[in-house]
Amino acid sequence: MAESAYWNRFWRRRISRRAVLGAGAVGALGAASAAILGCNGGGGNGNGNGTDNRPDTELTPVAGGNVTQGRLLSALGIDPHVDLTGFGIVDLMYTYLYSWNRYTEEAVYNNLATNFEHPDDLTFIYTIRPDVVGWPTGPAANEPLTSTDCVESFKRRGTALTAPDKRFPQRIESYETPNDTTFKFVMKRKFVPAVREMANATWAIIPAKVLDSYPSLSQIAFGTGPFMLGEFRGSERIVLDRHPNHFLKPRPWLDTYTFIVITESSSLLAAFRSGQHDINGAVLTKSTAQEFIDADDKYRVSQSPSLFYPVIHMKMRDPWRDIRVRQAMDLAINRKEIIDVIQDGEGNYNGPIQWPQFKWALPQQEVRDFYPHDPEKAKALLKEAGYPQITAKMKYPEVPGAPIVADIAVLLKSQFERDKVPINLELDAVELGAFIANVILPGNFDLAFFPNLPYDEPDRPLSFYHSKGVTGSGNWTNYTNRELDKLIDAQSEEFDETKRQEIVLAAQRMILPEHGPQITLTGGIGYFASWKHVHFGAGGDPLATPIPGSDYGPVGTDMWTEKD
Amino acid sequence: MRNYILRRLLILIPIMLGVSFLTFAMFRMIPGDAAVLRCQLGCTPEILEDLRHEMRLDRPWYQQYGDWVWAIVRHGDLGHSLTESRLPVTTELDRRLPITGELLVMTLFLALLLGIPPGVISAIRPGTPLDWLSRVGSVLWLSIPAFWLGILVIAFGVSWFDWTPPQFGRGYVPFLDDPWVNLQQFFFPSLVLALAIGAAIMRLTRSSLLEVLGNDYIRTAWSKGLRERTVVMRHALKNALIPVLTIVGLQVGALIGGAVIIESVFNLNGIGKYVLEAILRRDFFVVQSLVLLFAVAFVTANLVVDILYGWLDPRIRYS
Repeated sequence: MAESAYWNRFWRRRISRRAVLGAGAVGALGAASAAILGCNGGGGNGNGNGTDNRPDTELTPVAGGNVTQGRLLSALGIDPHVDLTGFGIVDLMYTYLYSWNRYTEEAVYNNLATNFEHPDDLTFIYTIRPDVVGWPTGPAANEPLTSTDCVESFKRRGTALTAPDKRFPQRIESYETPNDTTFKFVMKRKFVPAVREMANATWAIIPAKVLDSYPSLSQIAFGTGPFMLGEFRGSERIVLDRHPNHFLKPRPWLDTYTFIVITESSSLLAAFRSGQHDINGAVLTKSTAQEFIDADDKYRVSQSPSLFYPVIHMKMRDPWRDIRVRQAMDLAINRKEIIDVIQDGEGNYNGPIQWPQFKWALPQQEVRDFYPHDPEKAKALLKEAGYPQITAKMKYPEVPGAPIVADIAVLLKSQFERDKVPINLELDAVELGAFIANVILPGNFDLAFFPNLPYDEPDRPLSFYHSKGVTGSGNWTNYTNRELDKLIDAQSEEFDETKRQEIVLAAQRMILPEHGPQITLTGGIGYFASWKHVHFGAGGDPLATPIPGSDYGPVGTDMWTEKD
Repeated sequence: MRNYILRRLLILIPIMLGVSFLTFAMFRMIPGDAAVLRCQLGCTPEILEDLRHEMRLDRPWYQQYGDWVWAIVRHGDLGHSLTESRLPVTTELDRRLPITGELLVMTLFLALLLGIPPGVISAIRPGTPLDWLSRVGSVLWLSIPAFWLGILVIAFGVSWFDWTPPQFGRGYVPFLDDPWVNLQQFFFPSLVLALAIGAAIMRLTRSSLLEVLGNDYIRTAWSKGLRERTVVMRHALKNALIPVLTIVGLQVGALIGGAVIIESVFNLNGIGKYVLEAILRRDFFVVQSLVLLFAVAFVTANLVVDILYGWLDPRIRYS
């Protein structure tokens, strides 16, 4: 009975110095943990008390303060023309010709351009403000942006080796600068998507002097936007300071705008919850956003249909060359279950163009009617096509922080198994870099499953079905349909919106019965959360609808905070 | 002794060459390169080719490897990132080394604190509740993956105290700037990493000490009427620590591996997080240089361990 003997000795003996020291050490360790946690308990700077619940348009902004926003992705660089990882930061530092309202799908002339003339389909003329000046530092300090700066920026955007999607700039034939405030360019061929494209973050207007002095703007910036670069550590922290001479002064209201990069999704959300971030940077779904929706005295939550859309790409070779096999695959997919299980019951079916592109997508009922879940018919079609059993490898990327891709892939496989549809999906998760290099670019797949980018213009989603693909040099699936190519080309050259809508809808109705080469699934709802002391002004937060008829500046200018 | 150290340092050269070549070769076997990942929407084979040329990835492999090694030998230049940033590896190392260094030192300190005292108590009081507690605790900490424990620490911190480590909101603060904030930044990541290593040290300390305590010279010490503390600390523990020291040296490798994950979970922008990001971006020079650095750290740590053997047991001679 060693234990009882031990306890007897224990109770009889004096408490030794060693025991006291040992207990002290353990206690100190515990106390240190408690102190670290306890002393900072509630140390979040997010304080909902005293916030005003009236709409931002009825409140008087307070100048000063800092807003901290979380970011899931490192910003490898902040050259707006070439580096997409700086998205969300560069648009606060640079000026653009105009902004874009994604709800009305219209240009908003609240930025560099005050006026736009379009005398014919090939000519674009912009009148620009004379008072948009450079930051107080750098080669173009305090100097106004001119039409020459627009020309140089457009040329750079169109020729930089790693600049994305150069179809538009490559169609520009000539530039003209009749005076400092008139910027004109003429195109060789019509290209309607250019109107949307010029408002995106890669079309920043940068002073020509800056471009001359700095061939790379990856780690440095000299812009004219509402915030100036204070500190840039792309994988850690980015600090922006107020531009004192912004053309909308006294805006921007904030003194500083800080981004903190946390690449681990749950840690990022924890930082927001604890109040270290004023604006959440983690991806939110309905279930993860619910706690913030419930605590509406502390948080502001907005939601918007998500433009991300998961797509199964099929290589046009046996068995997927046979339309009956593609149709069987379509019929075997239970889209409603994807919405219920993966998207928390929210969302809609996507046709070839995502459902939130309200102007261009097919009516929801039409899409739903077209995609019934009918496993029995699927089996019959496979039998008829001479494929009693198909085993297909479906490759998908492992995307850090986005488990939804794998979740949907697993659900699809289980749907087929449960309904005994004889399509055996062998899921093959591929590391993202290898997926791009080995699967997508060389077209090395039978089935590839990944979400397409969140396009908010119809041309890109349709280009996947064009014989030339999205790169202009051929599509990954080897799909060819000359009639469809004509329609896709026609919509990209049709400036009359009503006529363009008709063509886009006709193209989609041609695609649907093809059941490929892409099978589009469903799209959900995205959520955006911030602490309530942060106000975004009439333009709203990134997911909110701007208040109709209201006057608001470029992104970031109207933000203010109640926090000291 | 001096000759021994010199010889061991000379052995570093072929080791580094071997490690660098293996890393170089293996990394080029992985599909994809930095050019592919930089080539954006609208990427065509022509653009990809131009990009590879610009990044000098189109040269023969032996030329790429030779130039890289030569730059290190001549200028100590570890190359630069292949991303748009083009940042020199040494610049990033200057910033990130202190973070990982502090994490590793604090982890090692905590691991020794959590490993040796409980191991000693366990050995000198076998079969007692303290012994059982230490042994069960060590199995528990060895079984729980550090990344999961890290996530739990953060989740509980938020749920119970509305607390997350300061680096989540303001980035790294050096110890000399604000010791209290610095301690808050490193305490939990170090503790999470230290638990498993401490558990291994505890178990080894216990078994090693139990073996030593059964030796004749310990019995002699007892029979001389020496106090327990003198017998254990002066006579037994010193000898029992030799295998423990070996394990500590070998754990440096595990520590570096653990730092890769823990730095991501706790948002410490050290070398571990840097290497993980570099692998995902196929940033060849960064990965090669960091693996080389890890190899040097590992070999050096084990050299220090070898030297310490002589201090613990003067009978050990180096030849």
